[in-house]
Amino acid sequence: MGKSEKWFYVILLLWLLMVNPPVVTWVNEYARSHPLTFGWPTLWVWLEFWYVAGIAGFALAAAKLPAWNRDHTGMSGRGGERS
Amino acid sequence: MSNAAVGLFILASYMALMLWIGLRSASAGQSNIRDYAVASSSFGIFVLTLTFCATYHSAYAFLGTTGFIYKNGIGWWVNGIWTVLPGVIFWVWGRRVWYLGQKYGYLSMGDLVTGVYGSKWLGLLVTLVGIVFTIPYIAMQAIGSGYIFQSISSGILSYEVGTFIFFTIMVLYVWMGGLRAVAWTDAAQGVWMFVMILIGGYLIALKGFGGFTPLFEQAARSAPDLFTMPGPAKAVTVADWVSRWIGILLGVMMLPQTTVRFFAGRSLRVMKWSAVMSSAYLTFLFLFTPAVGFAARLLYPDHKTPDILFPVMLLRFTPMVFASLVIAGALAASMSTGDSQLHAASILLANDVYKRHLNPKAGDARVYSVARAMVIVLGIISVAMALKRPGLLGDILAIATSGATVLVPTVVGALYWPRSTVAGALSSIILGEAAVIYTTFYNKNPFGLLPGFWGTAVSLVVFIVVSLLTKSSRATEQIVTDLNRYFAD
Repeated sequence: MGKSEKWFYVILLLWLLMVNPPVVTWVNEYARSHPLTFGWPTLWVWLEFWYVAGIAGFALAAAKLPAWNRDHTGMSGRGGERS
Repeated sequence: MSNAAVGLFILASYMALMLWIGLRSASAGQSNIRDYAVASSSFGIFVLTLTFCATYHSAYAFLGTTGFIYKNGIGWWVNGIWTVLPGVIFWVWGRRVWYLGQKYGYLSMGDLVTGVYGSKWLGLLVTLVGIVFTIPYIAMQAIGSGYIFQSISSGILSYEVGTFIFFTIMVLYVWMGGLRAVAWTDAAQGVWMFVMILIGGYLIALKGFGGFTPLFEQAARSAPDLFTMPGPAKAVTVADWVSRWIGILLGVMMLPQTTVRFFAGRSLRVMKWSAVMSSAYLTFLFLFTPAVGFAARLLYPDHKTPDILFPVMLLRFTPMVFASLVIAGALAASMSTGDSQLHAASILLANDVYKRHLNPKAGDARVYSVARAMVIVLGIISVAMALKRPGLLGDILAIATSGATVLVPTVVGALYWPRSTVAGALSSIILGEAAVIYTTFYNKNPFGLLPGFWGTAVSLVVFIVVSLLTKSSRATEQIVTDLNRYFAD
């Protein structure tokens, strides 16, 4: 696995921290006194922000990571080497 | 024309359209098992994305989500983790599955496991796990559809007749065209479902409350417990949150109707962009769903079956024609999952059981015929289950998603770890299933953690420990090392 791909997994782990306890529990506590943010449920706004950020990051990685940009062209037959 | 007649006309038109798309796409295929099973790995980004997403989201996306929010509040949006990550898994694991499928001709996960581990009995176990947890799900989709027919026709069509119509159409196009027909109807249904769920949610907020913010402000005054965890039913605890997304995400990604799609892309580039698009589709589908659940709670505070409130509110706030169009979207959610399950189970029985264990000398044409025959057999079994609804059905459904999670170590081991062994895989599946059954029926949710979490944890630990204690085969080491080398930078 290349360095750039490793970074993707590190960022993915950080992303998971943002949408799981204890971070989500802290946001939940804040939402008790501030149920609405921008007119929508506070907890939903927090999660939605990170989900959108996660999808954007995934799209960026798909476009930029060299290891993810190689297409597979070496196999001509379908199942030529059945094990 | 009465409301029931309008509803029935729209549903009938919708079903006829699906049948037409299915039969038309079937005519573009070839009569062989590879085309029937994985459409000769020919799908582009559009079809692969939509067939994956429409299969991933069942009738729960349309009906169950409203009920969950109604009972548990905004903690429901833990769902977002298992709508963003399926795309990541589809790419990260799926590209390796796809590569092995191309290289060795695998058509299913049972095929892959048999090939990489060199054990047909391990492959059979993986296949049986898939079949056992898939067939009751097909029946469940039919049950949902039967109710849709019954409710939209105001009882003119009985539940039984609705179920029968649903299955007849689905069996016909799956039998005719295999994955090609399934995927093209999924594509149409995926678009329909996406548009209708969003428009339906928007109209309920607009017509019922004057917009999203007025709706949420009213909810904050009268039902503040909807806005925080653990929610009105006190169900969404920290343990529930973590174990729910782990169990559902990994379980659904291991079910055969999902894994069949790992083999179906035209190229790695198609796989990658389908994965990205899938994350976006699965997540944005639910953009307005919290509003629907909150609206249901405000309008029907003591409803016994909140799962049905989305269509109930549509019928209340929108014209019958529009409500029927949206409800056809619910049918789309059921049908696009049911047809994929029917297709996947038929492949497992024909390719993994019949070809490998009962008649190894069977030629391609014979396996193709058996797969098609299995569609009819499974269809009949599922109709019978849907009509009789045996107690066992509920028990199997209760552990279906959790039960599939135990396949994760075996599958991921075959894709990444040269030290993976047959003994490790067999013991992890058996003990993992035992953990799921124990934590579902005997000692329910220990420490508040759902069975899928326990199944994953036990199977993972057992897989690693037993694999380290036993010797892996040279073939496994060779295949996995080659795979790691190919996907290294």
